[in-house]
Amino acid sequence: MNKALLLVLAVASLGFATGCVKVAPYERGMLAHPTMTPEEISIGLDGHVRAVSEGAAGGLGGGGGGCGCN
Amino acid sequence: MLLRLRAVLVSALVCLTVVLVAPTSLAAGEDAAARDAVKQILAEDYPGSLGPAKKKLQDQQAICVRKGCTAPVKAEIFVALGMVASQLGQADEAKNNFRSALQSDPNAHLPGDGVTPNIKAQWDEVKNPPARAGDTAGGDTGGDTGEEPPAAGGAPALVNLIKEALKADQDGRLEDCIDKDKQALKIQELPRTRLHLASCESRNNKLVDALKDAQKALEVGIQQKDQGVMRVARTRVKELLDRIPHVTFVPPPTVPDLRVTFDDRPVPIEALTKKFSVDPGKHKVVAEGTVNGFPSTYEEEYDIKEKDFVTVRITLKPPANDFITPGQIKCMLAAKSQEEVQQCLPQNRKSLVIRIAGDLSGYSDTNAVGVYTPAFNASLVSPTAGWNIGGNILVDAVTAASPDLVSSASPPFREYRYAGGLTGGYKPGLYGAQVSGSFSSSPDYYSYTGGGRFTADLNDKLITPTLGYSYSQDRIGRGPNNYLHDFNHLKGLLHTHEIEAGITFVMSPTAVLLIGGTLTVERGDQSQPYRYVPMFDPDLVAPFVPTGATVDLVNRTRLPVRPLEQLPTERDRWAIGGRFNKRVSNATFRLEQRFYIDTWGLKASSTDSRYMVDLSRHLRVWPHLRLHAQTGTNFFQLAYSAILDPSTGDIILPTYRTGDRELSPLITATAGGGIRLGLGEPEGNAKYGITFTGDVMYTRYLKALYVTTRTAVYGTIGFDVEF
Repeated sequence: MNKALLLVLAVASLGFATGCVKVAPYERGMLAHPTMTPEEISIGLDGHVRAVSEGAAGGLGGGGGGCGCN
Repeated sequence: MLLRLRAVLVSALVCLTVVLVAPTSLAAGEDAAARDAVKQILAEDYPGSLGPAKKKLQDQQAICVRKGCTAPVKAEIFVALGMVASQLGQADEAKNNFRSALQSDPNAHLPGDGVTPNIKAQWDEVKNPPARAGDTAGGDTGGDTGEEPPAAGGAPALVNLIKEALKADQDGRLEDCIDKDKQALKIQELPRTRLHLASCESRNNKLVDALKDAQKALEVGIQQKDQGVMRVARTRVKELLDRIPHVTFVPPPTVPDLRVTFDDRPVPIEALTKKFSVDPGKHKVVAEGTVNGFPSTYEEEYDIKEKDFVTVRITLKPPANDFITPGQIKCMLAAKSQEEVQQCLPQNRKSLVIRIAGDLSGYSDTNAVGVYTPAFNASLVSPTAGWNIGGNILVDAVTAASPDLVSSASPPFREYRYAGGLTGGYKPGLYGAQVSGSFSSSPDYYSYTGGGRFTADLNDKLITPTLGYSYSQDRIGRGPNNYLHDFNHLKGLLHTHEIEAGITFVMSPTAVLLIGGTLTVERGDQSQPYRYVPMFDPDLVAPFVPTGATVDLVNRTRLPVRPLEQLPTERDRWAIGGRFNKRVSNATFRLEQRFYIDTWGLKASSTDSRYMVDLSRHLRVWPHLRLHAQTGTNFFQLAYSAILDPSTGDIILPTYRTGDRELSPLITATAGGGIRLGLGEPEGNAKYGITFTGDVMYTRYLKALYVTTRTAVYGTIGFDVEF
């Protein structure tokens, strides 16, 4: 419980800290570069190989459903 | 000797402070402080040598120059330095200092007391040089300094200009000071005059010119071996280098006719990303270029302070006119980037963006598993209305002849898995939602998933939280050749609920951080229906089975009983992670870290990084590294034991047992990379690209039967088009 609370506080602190950052619209050109997307960027088998070869899953954007394989 | 030196210098200083009182236009406090400091320096004892006194006077001189003492006080310091140099036997330097004193203040003179014959002789030599053709009252003999005398006829004007510059300096008329010094320098290049010009420019906030002049004075001082000039010039150059602010530009991408001016002076486009030295104060940057067919401009005024380093990010926007609606202006003001600005414009604006992509992937490893996967996906996006739909489909062709199969006396097999999904979303403004559904089907395994995700843009789009939920149901059969209707309903039904949450933070114009976490709740029996687990005698065999025991060894030493795998039917899985993206020049560094723990006792850490470099507008390359390490689950064993119950004769098996190496402790390192080749013009109506990726994955199993390592090679070639 304490760890969860710490995590929430850490994320909240980050939020407050970022709240002080002002990045004007005209300063955000680099953020629109396709490689700067916060989404997963891998293609092809990369994600599926991870899902079946590692015992861990999830974290960022979720781990999805079953791998659909035996 | 020491006492004599000290007495001479102190008396000299007293006389200096009394006699050399000149009008001042600067703060009297600075002058008084300088005089007190000099007095203190000369009043100290200097056993053995007056070198330290000279050093302290030079330091005080630098302070005086920086704080802008009046010329008479500067002259006093030069006189004191000259007297010390004379006492040290450095006649040339003494004369140079006296000469500088007279340049700073033509009325400067020696104190009435404490002047040795040598000092007086050297002073007189400087003040009253031997008459020579062309010499004037303010001219230089040239003998000690190497400076050329002023040209005949120009000398009187030169002296007058120098005097007028000094007077202007004292009166605080810095522009006049600069003007007069420049006129004097046109007649003759004198490094001290050049230094004085730099001093006036510096105090008039013309640091760039001041630096140039101080550097030129230093250059001349070095040529003429004039220690006094060199010392002061070096001090001034260093001081100016510390103070000068700089500016650089970040041009917008894909504006071929870009023109940029800084204070109405054109900046060469190829030099925009260099660092320019500028004067402190207000400056205006204007840029022009064509965006989406619109002549667009950027105009911004910057108030630049000393020591600042300002990055000017040029974002071209079309000026308000009859063709731009208020809504479009509002759209542009809210735009995050030049690309979003372009999307607000009506010309060339697409109401629908279609993206189609296909790829072919292959996988092969040292356990004789091979996978070939063609995949296809497409999406429709309406930037104007805020909706999107998409879908994907793939086929996995899997061949396997792994040791697990061999150990179970099962033949190698080949099977096909089909998977696909649909997604759709709507985000008309700051808030949006996305729903998705997917399926996966193979002869012995069927899975479907549905879920949704909400997102919001907060704090001027600097913070974007997301919250999502999904449900999956997996039905696990027994293969090969067992089709869906043959599923064993007593086993193999798995329900999965997953909650995901994440927040994206814009940390700076070049950095984004995503923090996220998932909770996955799995309920059901996901034991594989054809994975047999070998059992061993608990006392005689199990403790001695080695990691990586061969199929033959296992078959020779295991007990006859060979139960199927049995996993716990409940599993809660937590994962938290972060993804940090940083854009540096023409490259993006992406770093991900995930920590994982579950109720089966498995703990894991996964680190993933890419460094994606845009070598040109069409070519991007990147290396990829991934490290994964995990513990085993708390029920995983290298060699399970079965016990015969003597009372009943039954064989007692471990409640939970598995041969799944992915539930064992392991370490995996993956290294590879990718190339993306953009075809056609990036700003064209249709964009095409080909992507190649390839990785080598090495896994070390720390506690597993049959194999201790696995090396896999996999890669993808993909093609995408957007129009």
